[in-house]
Amino acid sequence: MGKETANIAGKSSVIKRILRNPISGPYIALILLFIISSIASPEIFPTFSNVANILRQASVMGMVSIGMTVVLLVAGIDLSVTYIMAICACVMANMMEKSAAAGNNGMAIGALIFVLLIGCLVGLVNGSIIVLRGAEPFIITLGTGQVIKGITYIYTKGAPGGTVTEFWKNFGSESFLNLIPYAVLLYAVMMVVFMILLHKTVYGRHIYAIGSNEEAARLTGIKVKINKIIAYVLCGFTAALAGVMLLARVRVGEPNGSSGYDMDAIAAVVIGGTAMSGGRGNLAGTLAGVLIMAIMNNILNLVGADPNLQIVIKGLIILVAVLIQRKDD
Amino acid sequence: MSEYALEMQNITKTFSKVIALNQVNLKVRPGEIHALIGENGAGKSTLMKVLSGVYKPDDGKILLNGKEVAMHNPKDAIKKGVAIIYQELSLVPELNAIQNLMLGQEKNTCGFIKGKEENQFAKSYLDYVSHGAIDSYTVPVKHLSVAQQQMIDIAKALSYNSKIIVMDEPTDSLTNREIEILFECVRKLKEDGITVIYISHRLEELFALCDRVTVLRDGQYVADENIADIDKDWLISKMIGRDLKDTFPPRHRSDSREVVLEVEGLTGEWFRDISFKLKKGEILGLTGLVGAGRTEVLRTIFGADKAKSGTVKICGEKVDIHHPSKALKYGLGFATEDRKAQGLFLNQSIEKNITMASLNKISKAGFLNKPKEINMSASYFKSLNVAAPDTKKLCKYLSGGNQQKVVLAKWLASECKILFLDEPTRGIDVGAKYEIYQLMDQLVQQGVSIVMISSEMPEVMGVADRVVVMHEGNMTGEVMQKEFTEEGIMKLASGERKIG
Repeated sequence: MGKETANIAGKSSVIKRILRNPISGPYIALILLFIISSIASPEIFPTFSNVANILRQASVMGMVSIGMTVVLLVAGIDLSVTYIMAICACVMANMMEKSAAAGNNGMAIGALIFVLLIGCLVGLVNGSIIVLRGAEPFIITLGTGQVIKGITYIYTKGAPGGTVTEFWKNFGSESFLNLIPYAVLLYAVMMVVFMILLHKTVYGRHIYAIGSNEEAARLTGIKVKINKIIAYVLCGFTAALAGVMLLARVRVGEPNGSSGYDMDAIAAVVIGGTAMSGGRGNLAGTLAGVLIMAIMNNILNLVGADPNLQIVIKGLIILVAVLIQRKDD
Repeated sequence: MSEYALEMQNITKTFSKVIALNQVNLKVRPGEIHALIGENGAGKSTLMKVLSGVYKPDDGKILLNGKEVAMHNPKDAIKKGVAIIYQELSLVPELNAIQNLMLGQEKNTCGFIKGKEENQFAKSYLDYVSHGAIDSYTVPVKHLSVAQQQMIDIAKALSYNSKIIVMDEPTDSLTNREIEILFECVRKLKEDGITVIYISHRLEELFALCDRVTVLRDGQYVADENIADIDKDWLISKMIGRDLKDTFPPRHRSDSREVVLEVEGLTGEWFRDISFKLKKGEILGLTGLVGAGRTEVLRTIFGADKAKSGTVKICGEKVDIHHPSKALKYGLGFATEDRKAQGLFLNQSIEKNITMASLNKISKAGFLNKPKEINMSASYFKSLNVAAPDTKKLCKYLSGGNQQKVVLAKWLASECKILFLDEPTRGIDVGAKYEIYQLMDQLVQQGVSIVMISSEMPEVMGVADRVVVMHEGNMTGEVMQKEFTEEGIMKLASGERKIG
């Protein structure tokens, strides 16, 4: 009897601890959304192929959200990710067109590295201006985003172009061991890498310190400027990689194909519990945010909701998800 | 009419088991200037926050003119005639005097501001308070001096028909001349029947200005007297409840001659030509009035601000520190005055705060070694006696004294050789203060050298081995411990130069 009560007490404290963890909010929301979706579409939604499909779509937004999380953690924001994705996709598609025509079916590693460097470079420009001029990240990345958008339009003349090699076709449509889509696998790997970066390294600790209190971080001897610039470079990098993933799926360089990813990524990160004021949040939460956004898109299509109504519902769910977050912690 | 304009009876207030106020009484007669004094942490601010409705008391009554009232929130308190002027002024820097005064009580028709009426209304109060001491009513108040801003705050309080005005350490950041102007203003309020509660730790001021005094200590009411009947020694003994000498731990100093830090002709934005030497195992006091440039000197040495000229030598080697990260490499540490804004990562755990300046010691190739981090933070958590359930607690939930301990732990963990402490005991209760002095003593025994900025004269005299005094950006003198007198140091702090 004594044991039982101890057990119950132990259980309730475990539940309490789970509930008190700031991460649990978004995951509870995720589970609820999954259950509701399974009820709304019992035939299709919970099937393996549909879930794999959701994950595949989630992986692109998820990739953008990784870098966005880092930037939000230093109390910044990056509105140029959409355009980084577009320019990277278009440039890579163009570069691959010739080699694909020449019968090259490989990874086009040169083109891949080139576009990833483009992403990093844009991040470097963003970060440097923001840090060295003390400018607002919102307006600076809005500006650089527009510049890149324009350059992409000039480069592509506004029309989709280029193609992808056999390797990237497979990457976009096939699955590892016929089980996990390659895109999801890449996303998972990058998540692990960035989770290690944020939680197991000095750099990650510095990111949280800067986001919590920039002045205290500086007076503790942390190199605030360089660390912040690196955050934007990382964000540019993941955006570029997301651009490549998107390209692999649609198989053509589409200058408009990535629109909306910036806002979706920011929403996913914030739904996942990361504070826009910096210093608080993590990638585990972002994952929940990403999945919530992806499931939402999926289920609204499955139940055949009016596309215009879908936008309204999406907006409402973002609002609710953010409003139910715990204020403290 | 009741004998008292304000009576606070048996006010008790606890914060999660910590008793901040225990059965405190305060009786203020109409039209008097009533001083409320006590050490930091004695409960003055908490009592005033109860009065203004920021906190709800657990127990006790508030009576205005003999009638019991309940203060629900600051707005409610203002409505009932009680206004508080805080140290941090509540003005909007970008608005001008008139706009600030009218903020929240704008004269308008359907939302459109009636400029003429506002000007007239605001000017009547501003003129009354300032007598022309405010340069302009139409420039943004950020361009005005602190004293002028204070007057606007007072005028604002009067415009709400306040009968009781509380001033919380109003002279802290004023020059002597400005203090005089403020005193004029306060005396005028008194003549016109306004009751003033005046909080200050500058005892001289009380004798110059106030009629009665209430003393608090450790959250308890101690005494209530006519100023005319008492003297300074009486006040101090009531405030600290024991002799001054027991406030500070005994000194254990080595007699080292080794100079670890030498500053020569250092000039920055706010100070000129500062030179001093710091010896190994010494506590050097750096004192002066607020605004004398003390903090800026240390910030500049630490690489947080830019120096215009001058040299800094560490252990005889000339160094060029242009970023705090470099200061850490040379073994410097800096516990800033404003813990929350500049010292702590409030949203992070105690553990992460403690190790933040020593991550290189607990990492390899950029990867953190978690067991080492846990060990490091636990050992300082224990040795500094931080009152918290465990090291995972977020720093924002700690009291001021414990937050300061975490800041100190951070620098101890970095094993710095030279430690700058800027007002290390500000806002900390008496018991924790003693612990911090003890810790400083232990540190210097271990060969650490400390520069301590402090505005509290007893602290400077009780802890420092030598004092450098500054006045308005200039160094006015250096005093050895055996020559310490409060008067002598105050003279230097107010600008009299030491000859020879």
